[in-house]
Amino acid sequence: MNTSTAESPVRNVPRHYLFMSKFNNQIRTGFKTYTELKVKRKTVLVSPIDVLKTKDRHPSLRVGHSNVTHQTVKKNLNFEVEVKIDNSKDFKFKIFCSDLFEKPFFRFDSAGASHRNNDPEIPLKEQQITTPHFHEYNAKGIEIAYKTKALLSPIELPQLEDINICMMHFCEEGNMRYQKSDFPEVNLQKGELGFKFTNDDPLKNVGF
Amino acid sequence: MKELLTIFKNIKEEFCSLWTFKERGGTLEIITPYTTTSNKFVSVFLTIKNKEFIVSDGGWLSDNTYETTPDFEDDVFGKVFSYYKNYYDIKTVKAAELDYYFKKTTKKELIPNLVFDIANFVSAISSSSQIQFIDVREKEEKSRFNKQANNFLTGLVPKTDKPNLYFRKSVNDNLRSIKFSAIATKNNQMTLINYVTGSTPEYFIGSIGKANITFEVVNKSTVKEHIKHKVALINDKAPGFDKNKLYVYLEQLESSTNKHNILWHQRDKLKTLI
Repeated sequence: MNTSTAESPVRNVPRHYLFMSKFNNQIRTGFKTYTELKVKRKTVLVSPIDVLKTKDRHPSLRVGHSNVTHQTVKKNLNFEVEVKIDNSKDFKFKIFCSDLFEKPFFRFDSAGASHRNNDPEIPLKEQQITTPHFHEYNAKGIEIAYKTKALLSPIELPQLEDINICMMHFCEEGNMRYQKSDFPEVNLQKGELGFKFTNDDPLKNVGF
Repeated sequence: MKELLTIFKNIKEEFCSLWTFKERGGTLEIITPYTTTSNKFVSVFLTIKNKEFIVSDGGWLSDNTYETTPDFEDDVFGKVFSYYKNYYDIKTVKAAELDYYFKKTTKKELIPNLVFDIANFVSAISSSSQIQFIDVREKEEKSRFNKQANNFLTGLVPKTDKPNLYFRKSVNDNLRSIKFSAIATKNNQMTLINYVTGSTPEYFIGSIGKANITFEVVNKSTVKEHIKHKVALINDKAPGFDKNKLYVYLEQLESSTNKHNILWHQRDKLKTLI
């Protein structure tokens, strides 16, 4: 018997998926709700979002938050903006629905490590997705990074290095707005982030 | 055989196509085909300083870029980490609160060796930090008490003195592997604090032992004269706190701390010590 395709206790999921940690079981089993969360309109309640707090256990990161409401899913949603203290071009946007899923259900990384779309059906050379990229999940619960047309455009990409311009792109892609049709803004002008900080060279101030 | 060789050619091409790069100021980020079990491709960073070629992890292991957090509180992980660090002969430097792991050479032809070692090291460390070596309850207990105690100490130190309170820090570079839960400094004098907790009496005894060793090591070092107090902040609310079972061990700890064993419910006593 081919165990990799044998029927699993969870309907329509090949057995081998159950034994591999690369699958997000919460998303896979709640895929319908996940899709609804992602696709339907979300409303950010705070704008501008001040990015001031030091992230727990990560002294190099500052975060800001806003509560979010959802058009149909009546759960508490949260939007997180994370910025690296020495580089305003290195940021992440994440939308959480912690009542249902531990990990953010939709996310954007402007910089950082390339993601591996670790689906056995995707050829190896197509599995590597460099940053900037969005993250979503497929029906198997595999986290998939992807680039939009704008992220691939040599003309649009430099504009998207600005956190507030990129916010608009994120909101378009993730169907999120502030009030009826505005885009939320990020305020980096308070606290330590108010200083000039665009050090893209991670080794500039390291004395090897 | 012809078919197999064609397949090999394709394998090589696909692997090689995963090597790519980004220009980062004076540094080149090299994206390698090596991966972590958090589904990230390992990047290594190549830079030239003082005619030396340096290949490093760019601080990414310690700043959570791979979404894996090495837990140095976990002794088993500590052993795994030391094993790989020694095996690949990796050096460390700290800058802006981050650890940078690196190797360097003056010989251009040896740079690929360094890339190979650093990438393998990052992949191994990032992936092994995903393994649950200690049980979940113990990990949660430690993390909860750490957070509580850090918040309490932060509240004790006036805002203007914040730079004088450090968490998970070593006293100096010579004793880099000996880290204290917190260090408060004032007028060139340090108060060293170890948090002691455990989800079971057995884990609690382990935590006492660890605190004891770190106090003993610094007591025999050159920094001894700069130590004002050594404090064990003991979580008497922890599920593993069993006075009868821990009595002997706590007594031993008390001799290391010079009678500065402070129980969590008496934590206000710390005010006079930092």
